[in-house]
Amino acid sequence: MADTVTADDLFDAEFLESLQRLRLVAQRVPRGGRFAEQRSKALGTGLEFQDYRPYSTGDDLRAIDWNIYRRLGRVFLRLFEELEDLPVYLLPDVSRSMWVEETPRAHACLRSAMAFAAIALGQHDRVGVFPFAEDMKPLVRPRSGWNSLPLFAQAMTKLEPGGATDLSRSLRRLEGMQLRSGLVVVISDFFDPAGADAMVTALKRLRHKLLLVQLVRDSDRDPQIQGDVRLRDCESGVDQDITVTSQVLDRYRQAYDNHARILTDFAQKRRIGLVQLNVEQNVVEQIATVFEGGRYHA
Amino acid sequence: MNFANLPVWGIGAGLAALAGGLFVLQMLRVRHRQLEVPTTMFWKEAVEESRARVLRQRFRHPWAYLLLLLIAALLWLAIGGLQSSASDRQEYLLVLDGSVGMSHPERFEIATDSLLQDAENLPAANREVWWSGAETKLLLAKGEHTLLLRERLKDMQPDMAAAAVEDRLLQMAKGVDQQRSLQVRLYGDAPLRNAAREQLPSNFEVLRCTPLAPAQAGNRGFISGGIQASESGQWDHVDLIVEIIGTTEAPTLTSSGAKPENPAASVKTALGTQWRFTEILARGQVLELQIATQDNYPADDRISIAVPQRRPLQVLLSDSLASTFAPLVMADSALVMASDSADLVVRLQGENLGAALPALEISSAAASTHAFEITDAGSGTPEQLLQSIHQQLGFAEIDALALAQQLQQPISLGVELGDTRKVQVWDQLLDPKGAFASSRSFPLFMGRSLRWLANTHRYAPFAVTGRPLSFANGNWTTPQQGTAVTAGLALRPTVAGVYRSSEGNDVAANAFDTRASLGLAAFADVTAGEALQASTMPLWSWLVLLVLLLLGVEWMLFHNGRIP
Repeated sequence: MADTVTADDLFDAEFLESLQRLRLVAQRVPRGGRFAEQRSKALGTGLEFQDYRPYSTGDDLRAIDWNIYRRLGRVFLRLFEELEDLPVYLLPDVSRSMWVEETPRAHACLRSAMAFAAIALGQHDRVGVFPFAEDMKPLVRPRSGWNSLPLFAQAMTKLEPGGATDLSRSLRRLEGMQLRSGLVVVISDFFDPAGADAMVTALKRLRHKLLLVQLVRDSDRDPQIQGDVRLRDCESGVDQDITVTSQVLDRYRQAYDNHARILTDFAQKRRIGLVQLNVEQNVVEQIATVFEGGRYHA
Repeated sequence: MNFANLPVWGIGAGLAALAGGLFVLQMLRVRHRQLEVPTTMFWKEAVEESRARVLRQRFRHPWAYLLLLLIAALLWLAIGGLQSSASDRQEYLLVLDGSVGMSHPERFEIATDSLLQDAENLPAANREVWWSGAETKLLLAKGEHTLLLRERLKDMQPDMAAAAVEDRLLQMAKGVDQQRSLQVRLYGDAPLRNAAREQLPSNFEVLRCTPLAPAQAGNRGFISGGIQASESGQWDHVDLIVEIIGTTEAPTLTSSGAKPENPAASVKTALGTQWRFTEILARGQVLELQIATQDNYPADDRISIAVPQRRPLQVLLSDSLASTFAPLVMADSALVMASDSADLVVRLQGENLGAALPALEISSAAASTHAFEITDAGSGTPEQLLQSIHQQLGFAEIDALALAQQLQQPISLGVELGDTRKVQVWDQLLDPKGAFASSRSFPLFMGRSLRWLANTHRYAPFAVTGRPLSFANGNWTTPQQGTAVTAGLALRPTVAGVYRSSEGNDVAANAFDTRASLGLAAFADVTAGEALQASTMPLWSWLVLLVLLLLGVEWMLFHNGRIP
């Protein structure tokens, strides 16, 4: 088990090159942000015309549409769409389960987080990193600027394996931070002992836009285990003695599919993104497939 | 190979049962392979009840089964008390010397400690422990636990008896299987001379397992003592002779009764000083002698000596023979003319004088076939009687050829068994001018014959434990108030003390042990065997150690995941 990752594992020139054409596009970002490339709900002095409204005292005289005044004799102001940034909150799962097995999911997790960070920073959005396990703790407060990318990488290399997964508690902690509404990207195996229903309930309470990145591997659904085995849960340390038969494997797959179905149903109902990344394959390429035409509409 | 605790067939059956039982358990055993997984939550939902353990399945993990079987088998063999074949053939005879010589300070304790240690280390099935003191007795039989030996030795002390290990071993050798190797381990200082060892069978190996007693100087004690006929020739007096080492002081007589009238005289001997008490009136008393000063070895500081009872013999003399025999009776201090009751009678053949008394009868050649006719009332065959009286009555001193020439007829000796002792002699032989009456053998023959007829008590000049007396004399009461039945053989005193015969005569036996009294380390002719080291650990202990080792191996293999 690899307990740490290096900066080289997280990104390189080729990695950045492959992300150049990808864009995160929000429908409307809440007003109050910094000037950036995302369309916001605020109307102001942008480039894109949005609407008219009657003049009132104190309005900027430069926004008066004099042509309308000439035709209609009434004073209207021209309103333009403000372009602001999209806060992106990356929630990589660093629980114990992410660090076990031959190819630890943590590598794919942090590489994915770096990918999303690079995309967001590349379009002047603010990015924060909030790793979680049994609880959540800010690693990098939201910041913008392409030059910050190495800082993100440096910070992520210092991450160490945590304990058991508790997504509900972690999300409550995030909500308590009163962050500006943005896009929360949860990158995890979603192996929360509380179960899929508890995770969905916690996700529903979140007032941010959501993108769920589920890290999977083939053996998750088709474990290559037979006979009498003593399975030790890497997070709780509890042993489970079982005799694996074909019937047991069928029931296992049913349980796994049910877990996946709950997450999928939730994503579909909320119209949020749910991406499954196979950790044994190139995650950047898999992420790129999510961005149809180079854009992912949050 | 054999087993101390179980028969071989029992061991075999137990091994088979263990193998079968472990095989079943191995088949029923769940063998989990441990894996670490990211989560078990899906397995928990999917898990079913553990599969029932069934025998009809492929036998798995044979090496684990063999290891377990080996451990169980070794334990089973250890319980059975596995012994090597060598120990099967070898037997051990542990002999503890309980003689008086072991009374030296700490000698007995050293011997018993060594004995206990060896008895614990030797295989119980092949060793016996014997006591060699006043008597030989079995202290620990084969197979008995040494705790019994410890308990039996708790109150034991050396007996007042001379060392007799040599004799005991020779006796034991007669009843031992010549095919089996026997190791005799001697604990104590009893001498074992080369001469005695050479008489032991070749399968006897004798080892002395305690160091010989170190030399201890300064001891004072008696090393011998006895009585002999008085030098003055008085029939009813004896002389008392004792030999003492370590001191030139005369011993003191502590017993009451008749004491010597004359002061003791001393003579220097090779080892010490010999003291002679003369003219002690022989009245059957027991004299006790003691050395005044005490030392560390009190066993030889006091002895007892029994004096025989001697009174003049009352002779009833026929008037017709008075002229011939009266001077003879008067000249012999052991004989007196009978006044009222007589011990014996001298008469002519056919006279009725003293018919019930032992008699010396004067016969004639016409009436008696033999010149000398002896009748004895005792048991035994005529041949034994002839051999006995030939010596006792002095026939060897008689010149029978001269008598035959004088009488012109053969001189013969006849013996027969009867109710009363009787000696018959031809009257021709008593002719004062004849060869026999004028010879020196005549008074000797007459004196001895009259004493033999009176059947006077024979006494033991000395009596030492372990040695037979010089004569046989019926049953005896021992010092422990027991009864020693000699079955016609001479009494062999086993322990120091006074023995009383069925006729009421006493013999005082003493446990003289010159080597012990001198405090010598050993006589020159004693070959001391090398003391054996403590026996090696028994085989079953090695088996238990091997089991512990195998358990460690199993633990290691289990933690390495090599076996389930």
